[in-house]
Amino acid sequence: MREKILIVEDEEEIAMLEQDYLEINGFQTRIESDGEQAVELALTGEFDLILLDLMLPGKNRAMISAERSATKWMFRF
Amino acid sequence: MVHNFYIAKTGKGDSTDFSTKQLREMQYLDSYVTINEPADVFVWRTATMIFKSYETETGTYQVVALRNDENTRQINPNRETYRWLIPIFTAIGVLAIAIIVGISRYFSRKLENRIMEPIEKLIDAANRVEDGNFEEHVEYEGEEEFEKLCHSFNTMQDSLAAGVDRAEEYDKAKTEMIAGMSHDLRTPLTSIKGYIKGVKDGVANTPQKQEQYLDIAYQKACAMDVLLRKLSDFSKLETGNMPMEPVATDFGAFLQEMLDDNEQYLREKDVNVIFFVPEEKVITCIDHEQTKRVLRNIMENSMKYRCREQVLIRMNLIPNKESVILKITDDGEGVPEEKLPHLFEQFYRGDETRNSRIDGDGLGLYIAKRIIEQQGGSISASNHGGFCITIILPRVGEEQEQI
Repeated sequence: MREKILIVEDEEEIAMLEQDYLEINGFQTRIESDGEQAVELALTGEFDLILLDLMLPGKNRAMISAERSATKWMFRF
Repeated sequence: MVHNFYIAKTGKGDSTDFSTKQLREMQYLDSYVTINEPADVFVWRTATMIFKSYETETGTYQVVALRNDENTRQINPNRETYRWLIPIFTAIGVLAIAIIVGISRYFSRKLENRIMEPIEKLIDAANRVEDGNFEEHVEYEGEEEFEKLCHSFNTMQDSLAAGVDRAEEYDKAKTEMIAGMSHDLRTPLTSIKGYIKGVKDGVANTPQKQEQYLDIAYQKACAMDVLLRKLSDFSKLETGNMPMEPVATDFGAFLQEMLDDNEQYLREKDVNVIFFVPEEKVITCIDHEQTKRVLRNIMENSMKYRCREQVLIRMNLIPNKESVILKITDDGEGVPEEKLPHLFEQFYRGDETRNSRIDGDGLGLYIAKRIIEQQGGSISASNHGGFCITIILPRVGEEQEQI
């Protein structure tokens, strides 16, 4: 089964590029640009990895960190 | 007054009691004058004596006239008699001088204390201000002039404090702008680098994908260019090096032409513009390039802050007697009231959360304001069923229009 990666990024072009790179390397991806939505998605536990942009509208880094889930996290600085 | 005349016959035997020689040698003689030989005048303080010799047939006579003032003699002081008064008068004089000096020192000390109190307070206050403490005020009551001086000092201190606050705010805004700018410059640069690398790495594996990657890289490069140009405009405006060539222009025709030129671009961006133009010619003095820049900036703001796919912009040109009013209103959500007055401040970003979907750089409206003001106009912002920018420019006579 292909690993699922959640890309949390509000910059559309960057997210698209990340998606292209990851998909060509055999991962399944989903893009989410809104912080609140990203937290909800992360909490479903359906993703193996989350790529998180730290300057996000709607939700800031501290808030997302506070709502850590069982998901394997990776912070992108 | 006693006048005595003696006539003596001289010749064989000198019958006068004393000779002229004796008189001349007498003590206290004040002056001795020989009028016309053989006449002699002797003057004392109390008496005058004149000798005159007459030669006659019977012999030589000597006439002696004597004026003897008894009263004068009594009044005339003997110098010796009053000599003892001199030390007393001297002593009185010295004493008087001493008293005057004493009194003046007392009063000057008193005056000095009165002056020194406020002066010392002012010196303390000046030192305090030098150390950066603008909180306390100089408290002084007394001499009216010094009260005024202390009051002026307090006023000056307040305005200094305000100036320092302003400078700090400006510095803070500038630092934030630089941080924002570097982010705004880095974001497109990251995309440019990433997409070019994507082409090189073969991630863009179809011709369409390659085309798309290059398009994005190109667009981002253009965005960077715009931002850098704004920065350069800003520094030109700040240093007064922005070239300005105001030309008397039919403003309505100018705006229409600008809209026509950008028709395709506006359509691509889903922007509809409704332009209400008056029938009469409205002439105003503007620099074409700079004014276009201002208008472009305003419309781009409306596009940036759009809240639905399509943007509707209404442009109203209202001619007045001495001015031209241009109102540009969009159909967005407008700007919160409390932010309206700050929109034209340099480095002010309406959106502090740094929503990168809305790339405010804090320069656009500031540059717009500077340009409009340099053309003798004014610019303001309000909410009128959307965000509304009002530009007022001075109107000039039709005869000044240059074709």
